[in-house]
Amino acid sequence: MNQNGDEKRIQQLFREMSRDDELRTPAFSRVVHGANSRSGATRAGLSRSLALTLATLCVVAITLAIGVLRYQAPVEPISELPPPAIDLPGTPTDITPVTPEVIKPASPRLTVAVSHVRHRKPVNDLALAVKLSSWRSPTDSLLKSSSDDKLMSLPNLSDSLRTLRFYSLDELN
Amino acid sequence: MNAEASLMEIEDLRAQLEQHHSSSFGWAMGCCRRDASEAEDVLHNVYVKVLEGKARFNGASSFKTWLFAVIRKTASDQRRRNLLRGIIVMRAAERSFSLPHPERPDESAYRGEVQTIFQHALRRLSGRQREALELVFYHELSIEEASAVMGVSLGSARTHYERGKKRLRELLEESEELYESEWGRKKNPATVP
Repeated sequence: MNQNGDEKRIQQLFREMSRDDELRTPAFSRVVHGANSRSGATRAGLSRSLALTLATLCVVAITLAIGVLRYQAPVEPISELPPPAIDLPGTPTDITPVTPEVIKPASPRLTVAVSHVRHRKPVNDLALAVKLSSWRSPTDSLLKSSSDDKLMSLPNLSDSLRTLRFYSLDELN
Repeated sequence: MNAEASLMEIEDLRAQLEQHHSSSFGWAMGCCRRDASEAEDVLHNVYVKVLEGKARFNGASSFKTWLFAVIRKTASDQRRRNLLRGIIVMRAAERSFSLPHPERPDESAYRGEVQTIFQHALRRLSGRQREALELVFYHELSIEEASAVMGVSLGSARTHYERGKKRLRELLEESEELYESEWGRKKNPATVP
């Protein structure tokens, strides 16, 4: 194709396009006066899309708020953790005192929680130790009785038999 | 007296707009990527601008050149706004359902295919190149007038025109080769290795 032939061909293609466009050209009066209906439709479309956008934003905001609230929920304290599983030997009716050797290692959950606390609050270790040492069981008062002074003490050699009458021979042995 | 003069002016403007209506629509189509509905919107906005005096013809160029520049600017603004509002997709989807696709008669099928290839090739040109070619070949403006419409220097418009022509020729040759090979394959599938 030479240069001139190219131009002619391009021109011809543009003319054909122009003919197609002429067939599709709307009437002048329609373009001038058709403003209100079209702009109204555009406005309706815009308000619809605006409402859709607002609804989407609301959903996103609610989802974020729920996520944030869940994230900020208090961490379960150690005292509320379930006690570690203790494997008692024998039947359940056997009430042999439990020695530290038969206690199984704490459950993984407890181990993780303790190590987590230690890791997060290394400065409060001393305070935690003091707290643990001063802890008293709520049922501590049930262990007290009127004969505590006798139970907690041993008779002296110089005590008379009158004093020792409350003790059985087995106990003295 | 003043109102009367203004009324006459509006009537005069209206007559000029009507005179150039067909070519204005063609140019609006070119500015709106051959989207007839969008072109109509753009043209309507242009007419409102002109008739309400928001765009004033100062006589520095021909009326057609000035009108084409207004159409180009309006189409560009509208496209930007549409992109921002994100409604192009919605409207395109609506149009794809609402517009009928007229069946072409057999004798014009080839012409239709060629036009499709041509318009596809045009879309692959840069915006400036496409504008320069359309203004010169379609609207029969001189390169100087085209440069005024495009808002670029004469030298720049000439460069866009020459490069656009060269690129369009290459694209058409490329597309024709592809089209012929596809056509040959459809006509005689046995020849396909």
